Amino acid sequence: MSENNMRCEEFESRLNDYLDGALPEDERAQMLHHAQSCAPCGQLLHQMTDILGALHDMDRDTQMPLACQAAWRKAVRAECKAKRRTPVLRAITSVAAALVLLISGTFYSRLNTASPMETPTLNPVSSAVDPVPMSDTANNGGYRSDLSGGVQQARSQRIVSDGPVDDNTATVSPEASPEATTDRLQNTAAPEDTVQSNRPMLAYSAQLSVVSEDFEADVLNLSDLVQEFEGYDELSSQSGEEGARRLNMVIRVPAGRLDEFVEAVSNLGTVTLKERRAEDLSSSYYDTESRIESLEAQLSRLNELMQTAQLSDITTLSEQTAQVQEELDTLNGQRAGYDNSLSYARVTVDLSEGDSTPASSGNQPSSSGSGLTDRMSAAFTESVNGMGGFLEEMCVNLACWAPYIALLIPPVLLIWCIVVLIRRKRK
Amino acid sequence: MQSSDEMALIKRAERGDAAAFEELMHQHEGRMYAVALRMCGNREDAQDCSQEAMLRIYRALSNFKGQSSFATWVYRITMNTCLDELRRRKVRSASSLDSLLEAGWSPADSAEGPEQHSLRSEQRRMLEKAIQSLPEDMRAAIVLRDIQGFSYDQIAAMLEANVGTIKSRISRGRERLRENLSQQPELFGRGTV
Repeated sequence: MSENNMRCEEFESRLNDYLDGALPEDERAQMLHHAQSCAPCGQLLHQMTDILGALHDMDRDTQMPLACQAAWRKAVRAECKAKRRTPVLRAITSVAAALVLLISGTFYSRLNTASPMETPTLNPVSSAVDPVPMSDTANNGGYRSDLSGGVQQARSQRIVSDGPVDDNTATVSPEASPEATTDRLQNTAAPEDTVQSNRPMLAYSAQLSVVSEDFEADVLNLSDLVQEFEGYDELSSQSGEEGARRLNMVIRVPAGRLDEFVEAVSNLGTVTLKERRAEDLSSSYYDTESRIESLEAQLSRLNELMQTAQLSDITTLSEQTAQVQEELDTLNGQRAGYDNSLSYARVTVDLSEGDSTPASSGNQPSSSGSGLTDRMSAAFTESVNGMGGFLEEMCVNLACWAPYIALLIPPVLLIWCIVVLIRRKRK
Repeated sequence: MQSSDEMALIKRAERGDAAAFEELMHQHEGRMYAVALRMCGNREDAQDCSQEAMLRIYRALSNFKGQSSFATWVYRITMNTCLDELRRRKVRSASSLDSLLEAGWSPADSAEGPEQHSLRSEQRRMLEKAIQSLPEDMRAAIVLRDIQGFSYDQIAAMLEANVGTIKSRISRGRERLRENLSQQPELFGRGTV
């Protein structure tokens, strides 16, 4: 193509390449020649050259303002610090989360192992009965003034059982009053009464811990009470030196007078523990009864057969009769034992020699008349003692969960490795 | 490709060495700011975008695999940051030209007379206004090509488009600028070919 034959359309289409310096030399010459000979295209070229020249010079000396330079440097340094802190924070957060889980689990296990009738507390003794000085008992017929209503309620509510509850151990409903219970027992407790199968057969027991100011006198008083209530002691043992003597007795009293007896013993000193239990012997008792009836019928039948038996059969019948009689004797003995348990309640009394003032019970916070400092100090001591127990339990729980945690570590590590690999591949 | 010194600085910065990162970015911070200034149209937004781009670059250092040059990668992040900002806010059609005059404009040439200086100032004012009137994609291509001088291949990598698309955007962008500025023939069109 000659230099003069370039058309304007072609000029315009090649203009950008010309401006970018992308055309070979001969084409550049053609473009120039056309621009010089064509006014509109020449004007176009001039304009674009000016514009690009101005654009090229626009930011030749532009610098980032100093304030902006300082700002991004500061931001990046903060980012560096945060990046270095992150692993440490993660570790701390993980440890904190594990501790929270451990403490929560320990609390939960403590709540679950507490009796449903008891208020969850670190010191179950303190929740039993508040100790009251002996002098306060004079006005209310042998019952402590602060204990009368509370003890009645505590008595009806603190029907507890140590350890696992089996099928034969019942809890008395909170609404059951001692009087109603006594009435029921009186109707069913006498050994010679006929057993009615619809009535529950409850064997009552109680446990008392009493701190005595006058140990020797109270030991005698206790013996007198046993005689007064027409009971007897199954076991009696005394230990300790003067000032710290201890008497442990297992006493049987008529079931109908259990509460009265417990109250009387409570008046001997400061009560630090009072528990009452009821064990339901119904199914065992009725089962024994049924078996006795069945064996008696069988024995009767065997005796009838003996009257008319042949000589050759008498030996066999005699042997069977002896076996049945033996079983019957065993069951009768068992029933007698049940009857005794139903008739006579078992009371375990732990009488200890000591100071009956509230401070001597050890963990009770001072609640009457002492200053704020003493109360705070006592409460703090109680909390520290309780915390020690809590920490022990936490360690036990940790040991309990350790095998499960060890079992979980490999799959958790595996999942973590997979996640890390996936993230690296995505990058 | 990267020089060994640059790679060493990148590795150190990746491990959390702030000083290495500052040294690495020192040579780019001026151009990054200029790009942000032309894209955003005002000084404040340009500073915000520059700072944000620096942080993004720092956080993404581990993602740089050396498949492109480090500069290309840096300006890609810078441009994306500016485009994100423009999409987030409304583009200010009437940008503050006064702030542009304050921000990094070349000082007056001492050899220029007053008339020449006045002409140049007016020229830049109109040019800036025309650039801001361009759509974002054309503006980005014009800024990187005609202001910053990157090649078509580099611009294609930065804007994640093919070379043909970039050429098209530049061509259309230049045409729009010319149409806009041809209304002031006394400012543009007097130069020599």
